[in-house]
Amino acid sequence: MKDPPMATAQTPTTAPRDSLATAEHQSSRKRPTLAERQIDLIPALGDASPRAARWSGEIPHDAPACCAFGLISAASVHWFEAAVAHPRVRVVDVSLEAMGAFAAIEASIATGRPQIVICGSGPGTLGVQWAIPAARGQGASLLVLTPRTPPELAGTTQIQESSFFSLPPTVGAELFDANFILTSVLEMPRIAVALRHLFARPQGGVAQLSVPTNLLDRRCPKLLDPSALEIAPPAPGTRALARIAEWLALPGGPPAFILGGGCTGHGRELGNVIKRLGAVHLTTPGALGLLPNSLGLIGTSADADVAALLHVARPRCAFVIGTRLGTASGGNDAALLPKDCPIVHVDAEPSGSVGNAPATRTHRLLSVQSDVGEFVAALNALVVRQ
Amino acid sequence: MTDRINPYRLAAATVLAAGLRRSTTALFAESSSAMFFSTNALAALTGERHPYARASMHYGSMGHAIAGAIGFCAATRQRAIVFTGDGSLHLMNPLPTALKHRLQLAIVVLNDARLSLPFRGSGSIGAKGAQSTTSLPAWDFTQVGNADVGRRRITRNAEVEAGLDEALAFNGCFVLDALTDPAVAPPIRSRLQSVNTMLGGGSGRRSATAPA
Repeated sequence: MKDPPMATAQTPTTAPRDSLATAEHQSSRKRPTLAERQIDLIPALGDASPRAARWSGEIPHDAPACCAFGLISAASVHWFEAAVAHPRVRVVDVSLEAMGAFAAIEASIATGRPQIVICGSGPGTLGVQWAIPAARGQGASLLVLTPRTPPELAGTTQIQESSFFSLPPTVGAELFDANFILTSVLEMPRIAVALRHLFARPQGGVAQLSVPTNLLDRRCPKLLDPSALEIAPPAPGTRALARIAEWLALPGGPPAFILGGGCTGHGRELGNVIKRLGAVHLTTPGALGLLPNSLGLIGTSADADVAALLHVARPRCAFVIGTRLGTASGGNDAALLPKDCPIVHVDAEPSGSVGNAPATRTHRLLSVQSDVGEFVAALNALVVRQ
Repeated sequence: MTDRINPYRLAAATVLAAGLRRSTTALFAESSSAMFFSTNALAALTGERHPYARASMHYGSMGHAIAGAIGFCAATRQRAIVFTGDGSLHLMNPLPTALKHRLQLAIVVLNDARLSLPFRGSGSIGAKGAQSTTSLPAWDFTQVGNADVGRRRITRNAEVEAGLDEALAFNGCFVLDALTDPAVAPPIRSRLQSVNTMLGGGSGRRSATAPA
C-alpha cells in the first residue's frame, strides 16, 4: 500500500515566511541575540552528532534539522520568535509542557539528533520535568530551555513571571545530565562546547539551560563552529584524522606542539612524531622535562617572547595536548598562535575542551576527545603513512 | 463472551499493519495494557514484518506514546500509529497539536471504559474499593470537535482490518475508537507479580517491614 502524500505543515524553507521573522526583523540586528544563538546551535550540533538514528525508514528531504517543542509563555517569547524564524527548526506548539518533552524524546531517538524543549518560567518549568527521567532512561538528547526571572526583578509587579513566586534555577536539577545556569552571555561559547560533548555521548544527554529573561534579547558572542568540533576516537579513517591530515598539508612552517601535564608518560612517542614532522615543541610547567630542548612556557606575560617566535615561524597547525591553551598561554587567549593557525586540541576529559573554548574561539579548532597515548599512536601512524 | 473486539486481535492487526508499512509508519504503544497486548503481538511477527516499535518500558509514563508519536511525526514527516488506551487519551489529548501541524497520526484507542491495569492489579489483591476508582465513563472518542479529524468507531472483530486500513489511508490525524472486550485480560502476569512483591507479599495487607 502506498501512503498518501505527506502534508507539509511548514512553509518551505526557500519561500518567504509569514512568521514574525520579517525581513526588517532579520536585518535589524547584525549579531544574533542570545535566544537566536541557542536555537541556532542545536541544528548545527545535530549535523555533527555521531549518534545513529533509530528510524531506518524514509525521511523526506524537507524534514527539519530539529524540532522545538513547547507551550508559549511570556518568558519564552524570544525563544519561540527565534525558533519560528529559523529555517531548519520546526516549531511544534503543544497543549501540555510534558507533551513537548515526550515528543522531543521520540524525535531525538528516531532521528539521532538533539531536540529542543522550550519551557515557561514558573509552572511551565515544573510541567516539563515529569518527562525528563524518561528522556535519560531512553537515551534521548534534549536541550531544555528554561527562562528564569532575574532575582533583581522578582516582585516587580507581582504577576506571574514578575512576582516573587519565581522558581530557583536549580529546581529539578538532579533530573538532568547537566545544568547550565547562565549569568552572562559571555558564557555561551563555553556552554556550546559543553553541549557538543554532552550530545556526542553514545547514551545521549539531557541538559537544562536556565537563562535570565532579561538576557534573552542580548547579543551573543560568536560561538565556536560546531562543525569544527570533531569528537571522535583518532582511529584511521575517522573524520578527526582526515582533518588532521588536511591541516598537516597546509602551507606554512612546521607544526607546533604545546604539551602539558597530560602528556606525562608519552614523551618517547611524542618525540618520535615531533621528529618526523620536524615540529616546534613547547611545554607547560606541568610537562617540564618531557622532551629535551623544548621551549618552556611559564604561564605569564614572559611567554610573549615565545608567542613572537611562533608568529615568525607561522606553524601550519598546532597540537595542544594534555593542557589547555589558556593555561599554556597564561592569558586564556589564543594570542600565542597566529590567527590562521588551526588548532588540534586533545584531551581525555570533555572538561578540558570546554575549558579551552574561550581561548580557541578565534581559531579553527578540532577537539579530539581521546586518551593521549592512543592519539599519539594514531598520529604517528598517520605521519608514517604520509 | 461479548461481541466486542478482542484486544489481542486488534493488537495483532495493528502491529502487522505497521510492519507492512514500516518504511513510512512507526508504531508507538502506550505504557498500559496497550503495551502488553502489542508486545505480545510483536513477538509473533517475523523479522521482515517487524515495525519500528517504541514503548516506554521502564519509566512507563502514561501519555508518553501519544506525545512521542507527535514528536516522531514532526521530526520525520512520516506517519505514526499510536496504540493506546482510553485513560491515556483522556490524560493527553494530542488532537489539537496533530491537526494544527497536519501530522500523519493514527490513534487506535482500546476503549473499555476503565483503567485496565489498575483494575486488574487492585482486583488481584481484593482491593474492591480501590478497584471502583478505575472505572471510566463510557466515551465516544469519535466526537473530537473538528471535522478535519478522521474518525471511525469499530465494535466488532470483523471491522478491525477495515478500520485500520481507513485510518492508515487517511491524510491527516485519525481516531480509530475500538470498543474492546473488557473481559479479556492483558498478558500481565509478571506485572502483577511485581506489584505484589512491591506491596509486601501479595495479600494486600501491609507488610511487616513497610512504614506505617
